[in-house]
Amino acid sequence: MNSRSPRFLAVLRDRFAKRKQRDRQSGVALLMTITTLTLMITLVANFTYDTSIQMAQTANARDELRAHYMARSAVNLSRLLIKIQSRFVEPVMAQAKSLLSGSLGAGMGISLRVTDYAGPIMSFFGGSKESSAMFGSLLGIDTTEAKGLGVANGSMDAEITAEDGKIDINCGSGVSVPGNIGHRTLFREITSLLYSPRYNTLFEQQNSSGQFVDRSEIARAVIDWADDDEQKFDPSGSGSGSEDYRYDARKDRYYAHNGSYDTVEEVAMVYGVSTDLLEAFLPYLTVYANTDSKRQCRVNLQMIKGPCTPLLVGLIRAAAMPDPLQPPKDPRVLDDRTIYPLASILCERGSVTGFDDINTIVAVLNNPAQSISREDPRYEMMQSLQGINLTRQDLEQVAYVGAPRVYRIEATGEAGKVKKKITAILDTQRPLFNPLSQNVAAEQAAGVFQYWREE
Amino acid sequence: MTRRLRPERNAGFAFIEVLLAITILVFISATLWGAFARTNEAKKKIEAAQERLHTARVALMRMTRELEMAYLSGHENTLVQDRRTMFIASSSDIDELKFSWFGKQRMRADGAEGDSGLVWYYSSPDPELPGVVNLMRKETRRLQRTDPTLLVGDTYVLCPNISRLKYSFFDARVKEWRDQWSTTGADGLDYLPTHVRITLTVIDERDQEVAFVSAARIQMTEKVQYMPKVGT
Repeated sequence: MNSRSPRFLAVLRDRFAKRKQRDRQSGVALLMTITTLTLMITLVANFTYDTSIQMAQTANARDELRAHYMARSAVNLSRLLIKIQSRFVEPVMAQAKSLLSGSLGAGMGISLRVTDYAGPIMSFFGGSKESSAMFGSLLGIDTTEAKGLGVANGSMDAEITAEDGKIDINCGSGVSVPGNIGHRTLFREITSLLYSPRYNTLFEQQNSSGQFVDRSEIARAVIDWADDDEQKFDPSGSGSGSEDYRYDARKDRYYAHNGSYDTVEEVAMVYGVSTDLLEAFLPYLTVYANTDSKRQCRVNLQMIKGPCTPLLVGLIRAAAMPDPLQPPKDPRVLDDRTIYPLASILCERGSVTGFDDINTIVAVLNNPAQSISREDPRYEMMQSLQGINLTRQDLEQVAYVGAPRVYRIEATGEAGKVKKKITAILDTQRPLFNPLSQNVAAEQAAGVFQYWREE
Repeated sequence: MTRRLRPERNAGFAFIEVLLAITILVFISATLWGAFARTNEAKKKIEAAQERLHTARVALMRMTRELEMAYLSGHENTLVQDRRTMFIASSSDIDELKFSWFGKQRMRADGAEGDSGLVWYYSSPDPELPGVVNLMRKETRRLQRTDPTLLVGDTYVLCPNISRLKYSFFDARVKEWRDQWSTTGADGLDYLPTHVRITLTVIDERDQEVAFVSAARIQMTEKVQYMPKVGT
């Protein structure tokens, strides 16, 4: 078809006419529609944004409440486990130990700790339905029909450790007199804990006052903070003048407590204790008294667990150095290459089974080659390692094995994106001065909280 | 061949058309604007009410959690009048409460601060808004055996524009609620209440009083005390 044919022209004309007709429309309605739509969209977007923020805030508040009560539930369940441990397990274990030592002349070699199973028990009550069922199957219990097990919206967990297995810095309280064995033992333990050359960098830095502080100065300052007097502690017993740690020379001045520590973190205020030092050694210190029958500031090794190697290294060194100002009887205790592998094996063993007798520890130290199985990758190394000459009497000057008294509960509760942590310290043998109920014995058995912190 | 062109029509609007269009546009815009303004106003009111509710709720929750960490130390020098740790509540229209606690966060490296301090809730007139009273919170860096007002600490507004704050303390020993509590002085109590009921009344966005109530369960009612002689 020719492009200039009349038919083609007619089509073009028709299209032109339609376009002209369309162009005559002003589009006011369209403009108004677009404007209205824009306003509506802005308003709706604004509403949606505000509502979602309020929803998130409300959900957060709800989850915070849930997580808080989850953590509190974990604390309450932990108290129950601690009660079982201290009222039932410990007496039975003590009887079994006395029976075995009478007939076999040796203990069981292990210490039963139901508190170690806090995590799985928490998941049984406060985990998902699946974890409840899993734990139930381990016990041979069918939990499908059980009510009240598991939590739909959240979870809880807890870890229980004994505070007795730490160095008690409150042994520094009281009056510093030459005969105060607690003060001397504490000095021994702290200087030995800090001794390792691997910590040299901590003492090569200036503190916030621009001073260098050595290990024995820190140990003395820790004791002087808690003791009642104003005299500087002197391990030689000859007296070394008055305490002058210049706490009041700081811009935000303060004064020494001169009384027992309320909390272990109070040690952060002591002269020479930097944040780095605190981070390195705080896990090995406590302010709660244990069951040491001699009251000589000894550490209870029955329930040590976790990263306890540096603590054991410190205690072994302290045991080998009756006078911390004099060199040890066996100089190998000062060698990290000798003492760390031994302490590491002891720490592992303590974490898994605990200790029921201090002889178990002495045996490992005296004869490391016999203390490790052939399957262990460290077997060859231990065969070449010579034992440390340390007696039971030496070790008993700084450590003992007995039923624990004070427990630390670290409970967590989780709901949604919120996680709450409660740290509580429970003293199972502290007397009640102000009982809350008529049943004082039951209240006493549940223990007395000496610390409570929620984060 | 010559083509006869048709005269073009006058394009655009007549004046009356423009007037009519503007009138309609103004009318519709005014109607829409009015609707949007009313909606926006309602939205702002709801937001203000929610904001007020949120502020009061957060303040109450904070006080509740902090009170749960309150403690009293047995390591005090009883020969001197000032105490390091305390739990003191004084009664008035807006009650004041001072207590030692274990909840302090160490914020400064090498700041020589532990995890204990003193928390103090009190009221203070707003420095910019006459007639407005705010609930303040002060937290000291450390515990010291001195007048608490002299201790260095951080202060901020916990809840603005309040009209009343009342505390009630449950004394488990005598099984009754008290309006006041003091652990200092000659007749000071040597334990803490088991429960604290907090009634916070705030002025809402309509200038009306709204009361919020919460309760805290104190965990360490006994003194925190080093007792090596027990159980040995």
